[in-house]
Amino acid sequence: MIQRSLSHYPLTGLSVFGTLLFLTVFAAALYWAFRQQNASLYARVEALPLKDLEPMRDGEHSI
Amino acid sequence: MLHDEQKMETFSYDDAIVRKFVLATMVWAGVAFLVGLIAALQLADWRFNFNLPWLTFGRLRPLHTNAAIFAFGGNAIFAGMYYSTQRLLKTRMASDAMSRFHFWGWQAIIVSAALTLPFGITIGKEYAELEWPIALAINIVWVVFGVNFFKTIAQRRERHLYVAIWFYIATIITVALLHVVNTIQIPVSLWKSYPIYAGVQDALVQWWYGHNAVAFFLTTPFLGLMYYFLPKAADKPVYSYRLSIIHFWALVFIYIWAGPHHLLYTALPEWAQTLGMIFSIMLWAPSWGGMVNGLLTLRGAWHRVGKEPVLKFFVAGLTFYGMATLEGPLLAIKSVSSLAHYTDWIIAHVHGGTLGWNGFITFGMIYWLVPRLWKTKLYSESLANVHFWTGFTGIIIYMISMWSAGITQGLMWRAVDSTGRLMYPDFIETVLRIAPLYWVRAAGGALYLVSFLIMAYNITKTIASAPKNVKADVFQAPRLAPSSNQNLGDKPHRILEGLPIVFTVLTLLAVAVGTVIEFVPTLWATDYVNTGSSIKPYTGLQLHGRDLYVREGCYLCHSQMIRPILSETLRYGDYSRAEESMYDRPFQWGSKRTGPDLARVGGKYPDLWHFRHMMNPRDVVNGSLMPSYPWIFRDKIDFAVIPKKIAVMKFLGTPYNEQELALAEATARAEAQAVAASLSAQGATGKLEDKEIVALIAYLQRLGQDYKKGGVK
Ligand code: HEC
Repeated sequence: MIQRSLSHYPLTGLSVFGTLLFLTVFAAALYWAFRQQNASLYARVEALPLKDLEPMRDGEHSI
Repeated sequence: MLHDEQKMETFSYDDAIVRKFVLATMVWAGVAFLVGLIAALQLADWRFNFNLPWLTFGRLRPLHTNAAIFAFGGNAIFAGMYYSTQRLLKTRMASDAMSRFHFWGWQAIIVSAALTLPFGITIGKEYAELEWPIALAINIVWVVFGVNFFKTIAQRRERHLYVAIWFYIATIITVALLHVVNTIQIPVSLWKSYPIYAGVQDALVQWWYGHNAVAFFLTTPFLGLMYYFLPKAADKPVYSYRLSIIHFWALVFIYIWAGPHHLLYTALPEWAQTLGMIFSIMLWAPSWGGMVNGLLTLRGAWHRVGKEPVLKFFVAGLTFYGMATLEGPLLAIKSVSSLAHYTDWIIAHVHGGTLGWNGFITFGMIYWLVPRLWKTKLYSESLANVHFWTGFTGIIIYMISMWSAGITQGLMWRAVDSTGRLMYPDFIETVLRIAPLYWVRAAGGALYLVSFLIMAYNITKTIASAPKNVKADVFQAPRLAPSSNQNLGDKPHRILEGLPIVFTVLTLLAVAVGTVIEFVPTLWATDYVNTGSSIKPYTGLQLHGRDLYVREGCYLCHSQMIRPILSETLRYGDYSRAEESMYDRPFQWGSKRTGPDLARVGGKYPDLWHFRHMMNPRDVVNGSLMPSYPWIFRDKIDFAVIPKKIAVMKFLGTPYNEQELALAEATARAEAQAVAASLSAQGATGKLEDKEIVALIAYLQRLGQDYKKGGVK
């Protein structure tokens, strides 16, 4: 059975294809992450969790 | 920065929903841990099931895993997601009604799980046990959750999507895909259905789902929480935002391929196994990238870790994540898997992940959230520290005992002496050797439960000290301008993640690629399952017996998959072929051998042996920890449902002919008569021909018979 499935489906072909595809995605992510142009942006985005809005004090609003 | 023409909007966050999810997390955590402890005690001494059908291991274990993953884990991630999403996007959830529907719908699903699983109402696939009406409800609630979430993104007042949101998006779309695909089934009745997949195909779909439930339910959302709550608690931005980008894409892309590592050395085609193994090993890198990114976020704040329980839980949680994600790829290597698979080593592995990673991240998050949500102070920091150390000790005891048990038993199973014979041919010998470790494990679990109770007390006290009416804070922020007036440098970035739709599609693509490549070949299953073999469909009675096997959760202790490894073929017979399970809906290959493999148990013992064994295993095997099943001897076979089962199977492609269908009930009765007569002849007493035990024996005696008779070409 293993022989049959091997003859039907190229084991090496699929693995190589999968790995190459991954390397492409990985290279794209790397390129993206390290683009000089994005540096200032990352500095802003990474601060997002720490920059909570200040709640308004009583009297300032009417909800 | 603000332009005069940008209109300020006033809004508040929906924290009531977060409080609800936090409380639900606490309640279900208690249930999940308690049920786990009872199950653990049953493996140390079977009598902890008190001979109650609904409390036996096979029915309790799915309740434990569902409660731990979907009830405890689920409510925890929803709590964290609702809290952080609103703040990261500077907007209230799009619809309070949808949020509430999500909350109550999810709790209703959990309650229906708790009301069905103990009664043996199950599909019989791990972590996807809930029968079709509940599975359908899950899809509906999940879609509402997703719609609410994406609408919230659309209404956001912050242009950029922080990386935590990416992880949430990946979670929402992938879980939907996984769950829908894995639970396509045809109902036989309100509480019984058969999956459309069979055998090797079902196995691949199930573990694609099962593994990615770990990936996209227990990993990506928790990583999202980590990326939000850890910087919050440390008051420092994440160590490297760049690393988080790479972490995200690598993780999402690789995880989806790794499922077949649950099926190494099985009848799954070799190429799929190899793919699963390779991608699992690759997974180690992004996982550790994420862990390192988390730990380094604490740079300059390490001195606070000793004092602040929240940070302590996060650091330990991340460390357990690192351990589990190093161990996982290791276990996915075929030669390691050949030793570890089916043993308690895997149990150690998953509990490191769940108790350590998911549990501790959740606890840290709750300790951080509760004082803020209820506008008060934590009742006691020192109790939180006690919680940490007791829980930590509990996990360590749990893991060490299960590592020892797993490796010991794995080595005993494969031990062959110089004459080429098994050194421990009696399976029970290998069980008795590790039985003391089951007590140790139960002690570790008990400690973890106690530590949680300390937390429950602490949190209750904290909430009790809160002001009676917690008023929601009100905020002001400008509406997001439709076209950005920010500098050009942002442009490429916005194209990628400023545009959530593009981002979502890319994520879906990353997930879909692995899925399609692994799936599509099995859709032509007939090509590599040799249908011309001697394997015949089950008779009606056997089919019914098989459903009893599923109902009682026998598959949670028994595999039906003999691997092509010398010690296994010596112990169980020739290795399993894909053809042998081609009519199995669901497949029952199993994942744990608390008891021996049953793939070829048919004909190994006389009927009467099974009869006595099922009544009380200790009558035939000294020291067995298998539960007794007295109710199977009392409860009657529902013969009327058998034709319906045959009809559904026939509809799904099992080659029953019209006559077999028409005569299904009469044939099953005749078969039952024959088994009952054989039992009586061997000395069994009582009116047996309408009792469930007869169907179960018919099924057990069938296992492996076709193959033994004719082999597969
Ligand atoms: C808690 C785990 C557990 C569950 C659940 C369980 N078993 Fe077992 N089973 C064992 C253990 C341990 C043994 C080995 C000792 C013995 O033979 O009793 C065993 C042995 C067996 C054997 C004998 C196999 C052999 O080759 O000797 C059969 C048959 C069997 N079980 C059937 C079942 C069926 C059917 C169910 C569900 C109704 C079931 N078991 C549920 C643990 C379990």
